[in-house]
Amino acid sequence: MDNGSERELVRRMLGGDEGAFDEFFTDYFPRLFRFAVIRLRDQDAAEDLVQNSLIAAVRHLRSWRGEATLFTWLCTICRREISAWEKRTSRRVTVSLAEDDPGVRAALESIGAAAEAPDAGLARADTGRIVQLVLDHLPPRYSRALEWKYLEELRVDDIAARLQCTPKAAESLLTRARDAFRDAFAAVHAAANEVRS
Amino acid sequence: MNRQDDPDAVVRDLLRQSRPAAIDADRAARVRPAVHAAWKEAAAGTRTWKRGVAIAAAAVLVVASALVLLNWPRERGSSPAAPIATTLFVTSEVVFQHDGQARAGRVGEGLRSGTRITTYGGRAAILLVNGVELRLDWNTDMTLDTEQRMSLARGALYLDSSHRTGPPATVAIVVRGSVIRDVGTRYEVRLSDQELRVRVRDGRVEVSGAFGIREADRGGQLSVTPSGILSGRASTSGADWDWIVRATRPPEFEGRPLPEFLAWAEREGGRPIRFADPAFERANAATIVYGAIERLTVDEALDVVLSSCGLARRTDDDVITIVAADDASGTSKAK
Repeated sequence: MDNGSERELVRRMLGGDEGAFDEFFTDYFPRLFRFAVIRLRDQDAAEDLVQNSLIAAVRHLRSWRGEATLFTWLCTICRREISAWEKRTSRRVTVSLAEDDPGVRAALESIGAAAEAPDAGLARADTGRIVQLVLDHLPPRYSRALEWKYLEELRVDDIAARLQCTPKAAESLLTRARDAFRDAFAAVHAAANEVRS
Repeated sequence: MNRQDDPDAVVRDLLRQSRPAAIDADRAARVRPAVHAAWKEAAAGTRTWKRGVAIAAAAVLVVASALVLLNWPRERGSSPAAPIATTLFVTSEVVFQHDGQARAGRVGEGLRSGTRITTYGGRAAILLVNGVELRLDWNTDMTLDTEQRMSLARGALYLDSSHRTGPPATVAIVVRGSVIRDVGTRYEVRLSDQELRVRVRDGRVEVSGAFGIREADRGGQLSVTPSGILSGRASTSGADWDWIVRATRPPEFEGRPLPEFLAWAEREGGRPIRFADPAFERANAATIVYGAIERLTVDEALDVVLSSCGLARRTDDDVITIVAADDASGTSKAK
């Protein structure tokens, strides 16, 4: 995991760096919103709860010690917000998600576990959702670099320019990102299949 | 080479799967200001949300005042539109309108004279530059005429002038030909099709109109209808008042002394809070609060915080008494 860059991001945010806040919000708002909306099935409620979660997170940024990834920590805060919302509104969220299963959560939270190659027979809709889940749990630099390379089809030189590093460093980061993505996808997919069976 | 053996091809195929739709950029634009304001405050190490925004409001005012003075010789007689209030809290759906332009409400935003605030399904809290706080319930339509005068066209307002700064001056709320003025107080104004109702939680309020002038003090209620004005009594606490806590963001009490939290609970809940006896109060003076209270009612917040401190509450005759948790067992908790 690219834990060092998350620590650096948090350090810069604690120091009042506006660029760090931009990076944090741009990277984590969409991820956390997807996390909330799939559970609540209510986009407006998800928006409010994600706002509350991010406010709580930035206020308590010092308490993040890097033991879990930043996104896992944000998800924990968001889960608490959802529980409190259920209590306040007497609404019970009944959406049951494979990724809330302890096995799948463990796989998402320990990306990097060795696993087999993805199963080509998996339903396409499920695959797309797992791909998004895995991208959301990867370090943001990894996710961005993968999308630039495989969706936008940027050259390594262009990716290096965007990452503000040398082409060699970008190539190395892409390799690590690709491996992390494949391993994570396989682990999450396997765990999700266990839940289904 | 088999496609499964080509790591690039596998990853490319996966990433090109149909994925959940992109998130509406407007949502990010709505959420970002509030998160940014909270981050700025946390990064600056300021102690409370309200104080941070109040300072920002004061700073805006100072800068605006300085600009007025600098431009005085050239623009004698003109009145630059300096902010007269700052947004403390806003949920989605709240809309600000000024000079014909409508926009989503933002925390920390300076509001100028003439700004109309419509809450629809949301709620909002604003801080006037004189330190008076206004909270707006859902379905409220209000215009900030000046820092000392607001017009309420629909819905409900809660006014807290207990932290007013500067020279003493009343804040007037104009509603359907009636004018409500406070005298150092906290009160609610609620407007419906049938009546204008004023409930006083603390201090004294004066309501004037075609019927003359009437006053109400703590626990008093005035109801203005087409046929006249009625005086009565109203509770200063209870579920009817819960909305005022939900229309703002409470201070953070995590790690703060218990008496600070209890002072907030007394002010926001409208009921006196006492310890069972002075010795018990002294013993708990340095107790530290743990637990988040955001979005909870005052009663819910009291239960969360007190139970984490090994304490409980009893409510008799609208007075809350703090007791040891052990002593409360077998005693009903009146709400």
